[in-house]
Amino acid sequence: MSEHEKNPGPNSASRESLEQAAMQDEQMQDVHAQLMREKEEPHEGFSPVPIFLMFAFAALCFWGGVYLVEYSGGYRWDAYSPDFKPGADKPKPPEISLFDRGARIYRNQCAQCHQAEGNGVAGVYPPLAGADWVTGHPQVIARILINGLNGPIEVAGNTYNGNMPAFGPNGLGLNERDIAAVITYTRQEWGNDASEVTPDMIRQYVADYGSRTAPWKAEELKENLGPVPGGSSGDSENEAGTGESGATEETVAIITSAR
Amino acid sequence: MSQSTTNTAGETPYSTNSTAERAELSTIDASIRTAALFFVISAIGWLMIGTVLALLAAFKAHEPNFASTYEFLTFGRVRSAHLNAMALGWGNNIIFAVGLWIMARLCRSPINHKGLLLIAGIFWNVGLTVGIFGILRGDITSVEWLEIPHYATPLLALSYALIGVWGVMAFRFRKGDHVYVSQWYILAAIFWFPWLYIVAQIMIIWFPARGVVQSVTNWWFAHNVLGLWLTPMALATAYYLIPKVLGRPIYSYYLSVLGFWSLAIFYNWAGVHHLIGGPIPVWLISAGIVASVMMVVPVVVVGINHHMSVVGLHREVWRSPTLRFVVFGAISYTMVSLIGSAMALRTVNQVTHFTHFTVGHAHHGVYAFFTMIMFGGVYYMMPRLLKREWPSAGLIKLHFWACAIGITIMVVALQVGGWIQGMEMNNAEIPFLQTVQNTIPWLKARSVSGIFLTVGHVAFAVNFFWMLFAAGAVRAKQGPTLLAEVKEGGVA
Repeated sequence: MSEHEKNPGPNSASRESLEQAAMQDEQMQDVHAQLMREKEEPHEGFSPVPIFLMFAFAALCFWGGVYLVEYSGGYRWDAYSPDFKPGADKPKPPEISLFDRGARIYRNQCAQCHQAEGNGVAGVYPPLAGADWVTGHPQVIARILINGLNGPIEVAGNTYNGNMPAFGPNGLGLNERDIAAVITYTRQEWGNDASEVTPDMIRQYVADYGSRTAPWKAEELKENLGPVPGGSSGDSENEAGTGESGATEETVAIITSAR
Repeated sequence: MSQSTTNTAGETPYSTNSTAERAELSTIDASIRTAALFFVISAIGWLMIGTVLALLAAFKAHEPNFASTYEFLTFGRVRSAHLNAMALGWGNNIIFAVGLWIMARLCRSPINHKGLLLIAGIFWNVGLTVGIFGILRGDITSVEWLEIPHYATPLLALSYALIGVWGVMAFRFRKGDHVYVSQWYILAAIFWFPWLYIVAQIMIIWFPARGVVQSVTNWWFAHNVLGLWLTPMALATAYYLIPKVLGRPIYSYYLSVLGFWSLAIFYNWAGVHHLIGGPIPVWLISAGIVASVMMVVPVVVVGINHHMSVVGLHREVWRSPTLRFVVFGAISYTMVSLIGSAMALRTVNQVTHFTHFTVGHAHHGVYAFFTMIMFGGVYYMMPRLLKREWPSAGLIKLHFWACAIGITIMVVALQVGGWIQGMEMNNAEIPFLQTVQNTIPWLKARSVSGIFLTVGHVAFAVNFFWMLFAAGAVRAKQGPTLLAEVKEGGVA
């Protein structure tokens, strides 16, 4: 009996000891009892997957997709913040100054006549460099650009009788920013040293003169000038009251006469 | 045949036609007995060592002067020695025992060349011993979960490969057409673990990857070792034992399939959520977060599958030592995994990161889920291997209650305390030192829980060695050791 207690079961004992009387039927049955008590090896049923689970998991997958789109930083190796939005910090197109922008437009649109150095062509195209039509009140040159100019004009002591095309909405159609840029360029290049003309100013002038179809005459140009926008000189402020309303009347008058 | 064999169905098992199959199981049990016994004894040894180290580390967390005069007992070394003793000593040994046994049984193929398996097992434990001593000596690496110094790891990898081969061989020479869900998990994990371990060793220790790739690899490994090694082995054990003990099929094959493949697909990605807020490309983190949340799929599926297989038989579960532990573990799996998915969300992680909450979560998973199921596995396996019964139902109850209460205290204390700690750390007006001091009561609660667990482990070990050495204590004839009155047929 003690022999049996040292050797717990038939398998740990050698074959000879199994044959000995030490392992008796009763003990054999004990061992088998345990084995026989055991339930069958496990197997699986085939209950269907609950349908709500499938919907729940589909919703979960959808959430996962949204989350990845929202917080993946565009899958860039150098995006470290969950708030990173691909494209949000993309360098904006470099801001070109009005002057540089104007220089490009001048080369493309103006330099054929007024020449690259702004000297014009003697007797045909008036110079822009040193011309007080250009460097004076910004409204003057803005009017020329928007509506064009026709007839004789005296520039720097010489008289020119030509035809300057309109670049406003009724003419060649430069936008306000381009007009502002090219005016700023001509007012500040070749030794000219006048104030910048902003797109906002031009927007206002285009609103005033955009619908006018007739080009300006030289003598009309300096009539009814408004105040220099942003300008601080006392004179222009005095002119403001009368000038602005006058300009509008003038415009109306011209439009009517043109008809 | 006495009371134990008058069965629920009213028929004696002898009348079933599976007698041959049962005899086959007996042969298989016999073929793996020596190796499995060795692994279980080693596992219990490491469990005891790990428990002592855990107690040391836990006390030191609130009594910094405790045993601080010895360099080898400083917190950093003791804590890492605890982790490795538990994960690779207790965890792997018990997996080798229970996992290989279940694999062999389900494949109906006895283990051949069992001497080689035993030798591989001895090498594993020698390598681990060298590694733990290396850690305590100060040769610890600075990489969490891979602290074992480089002179011990090749031996571990090699001996692991030798042990894993037996699982693969059992599968290769299986009988029968159907492959049961436990076999999927075990077979997959047998391949996953060496892949994880060797890749992590190479990319971190031997030929270190540069920069943050190292940390990504580190957490890929550390998280996957839980999810693709401990988890599938514990799930395989639960999937085997629940229907086995209850004599009822697993609820749904389809849910098993869904659960297995969604684990396989999603888990691998989840580890990087440990690096939320770190200098890692954000898409990788976000992918980890999504995968962590998608882990809800396998968890819910496995939870339903287990629950539906048990439902209505709660008395049987409560009575069986095996299932009491296994079901506790299975419920913990659902809870810990859902908490884990929530912890991966950025808003939650902002609070729980770098707090004791994470430590509580780790123990929730590795102890309340994995270890409890493995205890259940040992309670079922040992009587079959030894042809004896557990000597003391009282000790089993003590084991269960001490562990159940202990781990509950630990998880609650660390997670409540950790949450408070996290909220305080996020509040710039509270000085850091204050937040540290405020954790002390919770850490003391953790030490108390450690004492509970120690009691449970001692009860387990006493019962185990009693069974092992005092053969006549309870013999099979008297029926299984149950934790409650048997009214009708026996389960164990």
